[in-house]
Amino acid sequence: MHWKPDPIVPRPDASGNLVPAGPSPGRMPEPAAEISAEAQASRALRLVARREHELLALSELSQELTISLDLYGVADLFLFNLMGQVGTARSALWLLSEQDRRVPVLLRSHGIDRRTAAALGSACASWLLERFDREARVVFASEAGETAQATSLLVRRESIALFAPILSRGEILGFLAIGPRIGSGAYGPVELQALQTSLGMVGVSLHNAKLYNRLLENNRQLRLANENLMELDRLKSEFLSNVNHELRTPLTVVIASLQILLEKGPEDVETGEFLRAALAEAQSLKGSLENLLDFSDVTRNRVAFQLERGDVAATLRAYFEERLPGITQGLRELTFQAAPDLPPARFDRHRLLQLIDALVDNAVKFTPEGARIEIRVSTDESDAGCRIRIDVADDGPGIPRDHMKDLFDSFSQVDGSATRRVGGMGLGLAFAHQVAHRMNGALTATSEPGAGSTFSLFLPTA
Amino acid sequence: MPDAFGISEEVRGRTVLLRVHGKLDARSAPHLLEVGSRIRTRKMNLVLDLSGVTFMASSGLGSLLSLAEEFRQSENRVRLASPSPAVDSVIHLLNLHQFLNIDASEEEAFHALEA
Repeated sequence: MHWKPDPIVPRPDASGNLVPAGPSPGRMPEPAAEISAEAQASRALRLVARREHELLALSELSQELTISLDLYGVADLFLFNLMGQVGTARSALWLLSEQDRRVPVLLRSHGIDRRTAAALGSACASWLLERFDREARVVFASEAGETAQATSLLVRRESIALFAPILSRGEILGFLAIGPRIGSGAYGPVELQALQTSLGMVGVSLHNAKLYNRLLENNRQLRLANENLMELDRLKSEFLSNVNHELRTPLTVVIASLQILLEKGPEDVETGEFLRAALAEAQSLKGSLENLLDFSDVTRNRVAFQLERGDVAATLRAYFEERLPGITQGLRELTFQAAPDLPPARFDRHRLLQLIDALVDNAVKFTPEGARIEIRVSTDESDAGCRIRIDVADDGPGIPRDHMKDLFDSFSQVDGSATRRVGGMGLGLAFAHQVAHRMNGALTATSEPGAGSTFSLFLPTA
Repeated sequence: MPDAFGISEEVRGRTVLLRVHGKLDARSAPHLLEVGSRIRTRKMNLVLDLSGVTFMASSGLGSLLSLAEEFRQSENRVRLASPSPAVDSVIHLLNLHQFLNIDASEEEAFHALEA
């Protein structure tokens, strides 16, 4: 699929009505009004200046896109450049979800409220994708009349002038919406050509950003898997050998046997399906057992905590930079903020990172694509004295009020049914709560259904 | 370094005066937008003194337009004061001087906000 800006496609005038791009067929053009040579020269100079501005903007964009490999950073770079290039105050950019290519996820919007922009993308997606599948070109907002009335009204209310596909290697990555050009008339063939060039550049950048983030996340998962293996090995040499022998050894035999049967080749397709299902469940059970072992260690004080004086902000900044690519690749935004001049705290670095990881994993699990997760570090003054406060906040659906009192209980989940959407044993928050207590700190949660959740960890200063 | 980007902030009553200097480009534009948006969420007016802007890239202009639109949709107002030649030429080239409220000086901008 290749971009096709059709220069003879009708353009909308200032009122959004489609007008022909050239003279009507069969009619002679009207004679031009008398214009002085000076006025003509001035107009020509102005046109040249405008084209120079557009070319300069494209040159700037090609350099600016090398600044960032972060999806959200690339989106900002592109939208700001485009808005300045054409002179519009409204723009938004969506990427298509990797789980469902018909679902757009808002990356960035400017001049349009975030929630409204998300709704706009959802309302227009099926119509736009159908049009882009037929022909990858600009779709003017005036063409929204062929959609449902509510969609058409939303497009008009948000003053969108046009939508355009973002392509990479022939595939649609997402799409863009921009508002009308302020003070400069409609989008003509030259503007559309410049837009096509910009979109080509940003398509490549977004594709590269996704690949890069996926690579970093894979590396992180491998590193965590290796660390987890080392931790399990250490546990095995301690006092849980009976549990290992009674439960894990037979479970390991079961998993190995199933894998061998699958490698040998099952008798028929149905048998193969049963074997794969059994193997998946056995591996899930093994993962749950390993989580239980770690949780048990912490809650029974069978593991010593290394409480040392340290810089919480520096520790969590390094963690944030490592987690960012994977979370960005999952089309959620992760941000980090630390107040300046924070006093040192006393904490176990390894356990603090496990705790924050559990809170961030919880936020990722229970928020949809397009959500924002924030890690904030500050101080807290209370009757308990000065403490370091770490917030992990999301703008997801929030926690139902009747679940708040059991939030940190072991095996508690918002949806505890067997058919729940999110997996896991519900140990993450219970584990985090125990770790906070073992570090002489505290962990609290606040949430409003529909307005997100904030988990706050308080640590003593050193 | 004259091109080094910086913003100084001064509060006068219900209005914040931001003096911007240096290059307004892809690196500095998000920072300006973030500072400006925070002022809007504090429900204050904003005067942006752009006399010190030595260069404005398209992305810098894009961030100004985005900020102006955010304020336009809110109850608070923003005015641009003393645009440098680098800023003024681009604004007039794209006929944006009607959309962006521009004043020749900080005093004129504050006066316009009081009106």
